[in-house]
Amino acid sequence: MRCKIRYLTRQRTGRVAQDEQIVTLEGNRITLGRGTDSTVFLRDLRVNYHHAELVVHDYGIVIEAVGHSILRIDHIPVERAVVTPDSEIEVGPYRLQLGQDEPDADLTLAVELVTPPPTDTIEQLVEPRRVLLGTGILRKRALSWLVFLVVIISGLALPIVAYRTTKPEGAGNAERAPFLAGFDRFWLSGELSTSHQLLGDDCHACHELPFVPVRSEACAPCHADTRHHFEVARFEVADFAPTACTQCHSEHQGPTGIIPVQQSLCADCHGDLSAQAETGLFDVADFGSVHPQFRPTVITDPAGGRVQRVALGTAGFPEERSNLEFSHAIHLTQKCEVAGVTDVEQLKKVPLETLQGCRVLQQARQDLNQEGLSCVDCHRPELGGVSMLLPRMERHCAVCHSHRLAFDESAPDRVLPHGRPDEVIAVINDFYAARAMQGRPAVVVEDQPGLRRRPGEDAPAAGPTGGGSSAEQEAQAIAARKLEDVFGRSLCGVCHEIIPPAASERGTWEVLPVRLTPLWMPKARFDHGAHKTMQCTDCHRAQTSRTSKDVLMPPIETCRACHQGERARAAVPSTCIMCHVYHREDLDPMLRAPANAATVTR
Amino acid sequence: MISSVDRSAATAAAVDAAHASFLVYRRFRYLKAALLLSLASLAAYLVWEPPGGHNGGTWLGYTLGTIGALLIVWLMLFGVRKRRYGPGSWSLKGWLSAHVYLGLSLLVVATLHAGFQVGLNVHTLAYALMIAVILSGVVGVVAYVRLPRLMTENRMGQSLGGMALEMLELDRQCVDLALELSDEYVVEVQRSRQETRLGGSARRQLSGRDPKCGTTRALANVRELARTAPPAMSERAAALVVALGRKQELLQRARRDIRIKALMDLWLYVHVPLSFALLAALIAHVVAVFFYWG
Repeated sequence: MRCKIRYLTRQRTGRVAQDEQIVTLEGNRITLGRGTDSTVFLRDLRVNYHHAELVVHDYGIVIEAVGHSILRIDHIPVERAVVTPDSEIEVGPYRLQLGQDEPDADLTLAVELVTPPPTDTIEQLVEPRRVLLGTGILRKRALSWLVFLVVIISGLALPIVAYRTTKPEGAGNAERAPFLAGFDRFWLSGELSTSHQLLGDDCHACHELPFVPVRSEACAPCHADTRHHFEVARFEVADFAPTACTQCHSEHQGPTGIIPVQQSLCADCHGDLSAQAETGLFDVADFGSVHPQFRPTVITDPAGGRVQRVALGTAGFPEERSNLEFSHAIHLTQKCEVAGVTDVEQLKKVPLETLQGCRVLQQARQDLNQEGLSCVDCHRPELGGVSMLLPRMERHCAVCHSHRLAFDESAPDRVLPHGRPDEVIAVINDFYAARAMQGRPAVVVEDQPGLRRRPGEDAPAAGPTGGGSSAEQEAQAIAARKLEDVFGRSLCGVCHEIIPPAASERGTWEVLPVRLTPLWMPKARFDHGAHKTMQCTDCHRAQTSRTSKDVLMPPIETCRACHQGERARAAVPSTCIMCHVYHREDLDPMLRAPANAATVTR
Repeated sequence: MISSVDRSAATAAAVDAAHASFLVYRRFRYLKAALLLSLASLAAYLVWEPPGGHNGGTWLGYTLGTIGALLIVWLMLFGVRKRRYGPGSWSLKGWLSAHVYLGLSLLVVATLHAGFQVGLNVHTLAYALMIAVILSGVVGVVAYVRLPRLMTENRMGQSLGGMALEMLELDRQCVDLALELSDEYVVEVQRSRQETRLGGSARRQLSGRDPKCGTTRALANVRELARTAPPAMSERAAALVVALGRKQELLQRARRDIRIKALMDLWLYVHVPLSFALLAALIAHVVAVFFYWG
């Protein structure tokens, strides 16, 4: 069998080139396929090795697919079909067409590649999109926009909406949608100080207008009474606005942050204050190193109300004049060293002070049921625990000394009223006048120089007075001598400064009023309560003080044993405001109270 | 007039400079600048004690805050600069060097600006975002220092495109070989051509592997076929095994290349979006501070 096979190639210009092959075969089968042994060699991977066969029968030409090869006749998949020159045969990408009978061939076949093989491209292997990490929403740009918007909405827009929609209605009453309240807090740079927490969510209380710094006027409704630190009319301080609250007080610094404690705040001016202005104040920059010695305010002239302020420990330090005589040493005696004394002669050799100390111990055991006296028996802290109360005769001294105000042993129950000298005089005069009228012998107190009779001691032996005067005159004389004894030596005079009638303007016995010093350092604030763990005598040298002329204020060195300046390492860092206040009660208010203060004061 | 020796020395120096890492750019010029800025901030912080303690609201706080905010904006402009080609007045390497070192100095400037105060608020959010951005940037610096060398070693002088071109060429060879091989081979060659992909999901890129790689399967199957190939085909079959083997080796290298590139890019997916979150938080922070001023 002779076959004529024409391979057609359609060129770009549209012209069709053809390559004709004439094959002579044994038998009637023409094989089609990729295999090189095929009659019609179709060199394309889309064609099977043995794809199909054309079989020339007498009745016509039949095409058969080999195996599962795909074959289309007139676009219809078939396994076997009779083909004519009109049939369009598709084998993979090839189109085959039987030709009209030609004289020199038994079969003519035109073969054309109609679907050229796709050219492999790099994109097919590696698409640019597939080697990008983020696609879609995960692109960097998209992600950036997303997070930017989330933050700007939640961190900026919603807090502003929260502010705009808030109706200021006073402390704690700010109303806003609960959803927005959280966003408002998102701006909060820190918690309010404890004292300002009563303002609640009412930001408007201080932040009156957006983008306007907090004004001192906003503080005035509550703090109108806050005083200046210095006389602003007298001094001018550069870079310092005396009424600008926020200059020193910054809020939102946590519970205690509102009160600045840095010593530099004070030392900025006070470090070299003497060079800046005439104030009479000493320069001070650091408690540990640059702070003057304490200068307690000491009453030196109780009648004239004069005080002196001299540094502790300097020559010429004044004696305190309180018009009261008191020995701390005697009252704090802890041990009686004359326990073995049995007779009077031995007793006389014992120093008076020791004897007195022994009596204190004795009395403490008897009256207070304790071994001896301690500081707290007389010195009690005030209710707040900061300062100490002044001892009172009635409350403290009288525990031991009240029944020593008896003045006549024949009437031990008659005691003199404390603190009322005129009544004392009246009581004594009346007592002896009454006794004279009752005809009872008077008792005469003999002078015993060198030994003052102490309250409660047995009176020295007494005898009847000489006769001659009337009972009344006698009684007056006895009363006068009794008064002299009571005021001058045995009772009042033991502790008090006495003015005898001769020196008195009123011509009578007078007791000078006691002027105890409540605060030696009125410009400083010392918290006794904060020092509870210490003994009083750790600081106050009372055991060795024999007179109340001593000022038992400890010097600065005592404080410095524990307290040093701000940068102290092995001590309590102590800055100015630990002891001093900034806003001085004696000066004018800093702020002007608003007209409607009454309604806004909280 | 410079002598030829000088000129060659100058050229060599220029070449050295061109190859020097951005980290040593101009003899650590920006490292020095960053250290200077950090130390100056620290000194001011230690020397000066504001009333009420250190925070953003003191004059030092405002100063450091302004420096920090301007730095952040400027650092973000790097994203604009690197998209602009051409040398410009500052080289891109100089920018990167300054970006890295001055960015690191923000750790000091911003921390001192805040005075170590933190809270649950937009201010600390800005700070936290800044820290996250800087840390991701440090990861980026490490990646840029270490990974390019790995990438060069892996590429063996070929680019990813070059590898892909070679793979296409191998595909063509495989097609040629398969044309005269039985249909089973053709199936495998087509599988290798059509079912082999580079890249894919982020996970796939970062893994450096593709368990469904058509070439791997095709190679295994063709090896199996080649063992029992009739003598007429065995030579071609063996050649096909070689070609597919070479393609698979190229694929492994290409996937490794993609993996390294993905690793080099990965940190940017944190760094860039968080930078924008930081910018938003910074705007909110600044507005909030002056909205409630005082």
